[in-house]
Amino acid sequence: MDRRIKPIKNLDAVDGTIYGRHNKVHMVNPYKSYFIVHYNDGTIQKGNNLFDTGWHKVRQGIKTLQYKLSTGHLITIPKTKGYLPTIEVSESMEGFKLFHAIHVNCIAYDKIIKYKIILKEDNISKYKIGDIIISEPGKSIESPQWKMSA
Amino acid sequence: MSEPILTFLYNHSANDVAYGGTGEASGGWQKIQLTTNSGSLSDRKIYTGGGIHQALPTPTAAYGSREATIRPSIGTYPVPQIYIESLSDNIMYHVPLASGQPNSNRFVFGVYVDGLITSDLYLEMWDDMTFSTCDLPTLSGSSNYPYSVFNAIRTTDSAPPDAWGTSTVSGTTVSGVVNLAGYDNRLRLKGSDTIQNECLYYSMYAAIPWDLEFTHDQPVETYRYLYI
Repeated sequence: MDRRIKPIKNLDAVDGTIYGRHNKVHMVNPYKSYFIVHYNDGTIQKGNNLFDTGWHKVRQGIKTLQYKLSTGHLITIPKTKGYLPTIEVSESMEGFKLFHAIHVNCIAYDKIIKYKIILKEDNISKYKIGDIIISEPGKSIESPQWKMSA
Repeated sequence: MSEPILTFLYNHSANDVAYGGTGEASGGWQKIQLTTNSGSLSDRKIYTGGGIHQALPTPTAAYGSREATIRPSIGTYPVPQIYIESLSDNIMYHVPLASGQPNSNRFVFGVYVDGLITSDLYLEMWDDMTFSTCDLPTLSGSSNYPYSVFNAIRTTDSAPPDAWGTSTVSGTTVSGVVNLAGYDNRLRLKGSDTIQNECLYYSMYAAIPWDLEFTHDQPVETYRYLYI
């Protein structure tokens, strides 16, 4: 399938670069970034990539949820009652895709906590690839794709 | 789960009717062709007209043709025509319902979402593919008109109000017009956080303020969303 990320230069196993008028952006390689789920029985399930995440195949009873980025970052999400990750992407009318972040929504007692994993960095933003921004979104996403902890 | 497939559409007919397809050309609606890794180039949205000849031919014009436009001596001037320039077909397709803006036509541009989006779909404009700055004159405006020249309004639920003025929603007077520029000035195409296998609509035009610096800008139009 055509994934339409042509304007990215030097997209390799680590990352790629996008050149703008006066800014330069590095983005993780979306083909080489994925989740890793650990279960209580010792089995491990690896996701596909950021296009076809494979989250629907994750079973209930998660022990640990991690994200492996193409840049080598291995990010472990703190244990909570349940998880629902979403991918934030921008798509241009020219067909280019830029991956901004992974939003991992978590059920923490009586509220939703969101761990936002940054997937790009540039000369302007203070955030770097692999940074995590923690917030309380104030509302929950209704979805059958919530996966609960063991 | 996997990414949704977005199809960008425009109404090439003068019939103000909804899109009836599921991601392909249908009725008067045509697809905007995207750049592919196989090398084909994307279509472009062209704002033109108002000069000596007033307008380009319709319903199509020769590839690469441009009519001059006007920087007014006072106020703002809505650029009267929008075309989709197809590099693959080597021709420009007129979007008739986008002429004479701001008008009350509803089904002008559309985005068909094949799959599931877990947020709204946000229409944004940026300087370039880094999606990080809005410094181009057409996005930052002028000293007396510090707004983007690109006016957009959501028409998914209803047609725009007369002259894109205010309307009343649940007893509150609102204006749905957004001057597109970056993250802070973007247009929500649905108004809710779940979109699945449906078409969303909007209308837009460019209005040149009297003191905009002379420029030849090519900002990029982008769509931001979340998926599982």
